[in-house]
Amino acid sequence: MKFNSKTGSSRFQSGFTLVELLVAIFLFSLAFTATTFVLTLNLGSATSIKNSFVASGLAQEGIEVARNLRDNDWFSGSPFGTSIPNGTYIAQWNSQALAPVGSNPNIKFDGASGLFSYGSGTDTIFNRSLTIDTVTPGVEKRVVVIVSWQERSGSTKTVSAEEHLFNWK
Amino acid sequence: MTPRIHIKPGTYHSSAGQAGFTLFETLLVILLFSIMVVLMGSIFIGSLNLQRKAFNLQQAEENASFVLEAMAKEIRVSQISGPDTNCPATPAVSLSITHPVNGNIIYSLSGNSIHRNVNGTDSIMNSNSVEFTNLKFCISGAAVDDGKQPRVTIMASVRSVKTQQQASINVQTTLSQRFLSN
Repeated sequence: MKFNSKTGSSRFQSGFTLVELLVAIFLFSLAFTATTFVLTLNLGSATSIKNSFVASGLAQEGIEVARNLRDNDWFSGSPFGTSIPNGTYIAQWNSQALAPVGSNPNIKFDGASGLFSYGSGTDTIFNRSLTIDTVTPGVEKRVVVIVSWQERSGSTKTVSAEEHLFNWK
Repeated sequence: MTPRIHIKPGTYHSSAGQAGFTLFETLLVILLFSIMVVLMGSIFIGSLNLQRKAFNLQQAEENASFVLEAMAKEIRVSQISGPDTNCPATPAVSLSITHPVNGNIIYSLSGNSIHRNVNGTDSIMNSNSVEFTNLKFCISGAAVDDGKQPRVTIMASVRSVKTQQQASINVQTTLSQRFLSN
């Protein structure tokens, strides 16, 4: 850009050329894209944390239901582990027995009652399985609950919790 | 007297002989500028909304996490008072437990806040940046000699107080009483 010192601004002076303008726009959009990307990522993380939190509640539910069934075996006089045989199952908040995992359907949420179950409501993104195996026969069993779901980005996330149940009252 | 103005070409900067901005150029610049401003403005508002949503979500999550964790910790080791509820039709709106150390605790929802009443002293568990819209309990196995260990399912819904880009979370967990009680 030449500057004519005699006249201050002359007819022959060049302003911004198209290339300069394009470069400026490119740089601007680069900065904006980066900012938007960071903010989108931020929201994505917040959503992911929220999902992990809901999933951890559901995982705890799975563990506690398995423990509850073990306790019930004591009351009924059944041998340790009768209600929690080895295998992979599903269970919900009020289960009095474990159900076969089958295709591991998604847990439903009933908006009216606020209840997560396999009964009524609309599908949530979460599914849950309980895997039980024996560590020491008649003494110790391991319960692994895996809650998995798909993020909006398409990636699959899981929360897993492990509990060891003993034949100790 | 009419003032006589005579400017010789070339002696003044904005003389007739010199090119300034034409009307067309000015309009073009205004157009381009306004396009840029509108574009940047919308991007800015968009990012602001994204940020708001993320922040609201974080508030709701932190509060729900704390309340549920604190309740779970106490309920587990306490003795759960009945009666059993008929869920999901009529869940209990409050939960009464007897903690071995803290005494009698009642959890309930009142005015969009979760109240924890310990031996008659009331306190609010959540911050005022969120409101709980639902807190219900499903109790089973609380009756004596029913052959079942007491079990409580907590259902909670929380949302941010800020309504712009409001975030809400529904959460549920179940707890089995540790103290054996047929």
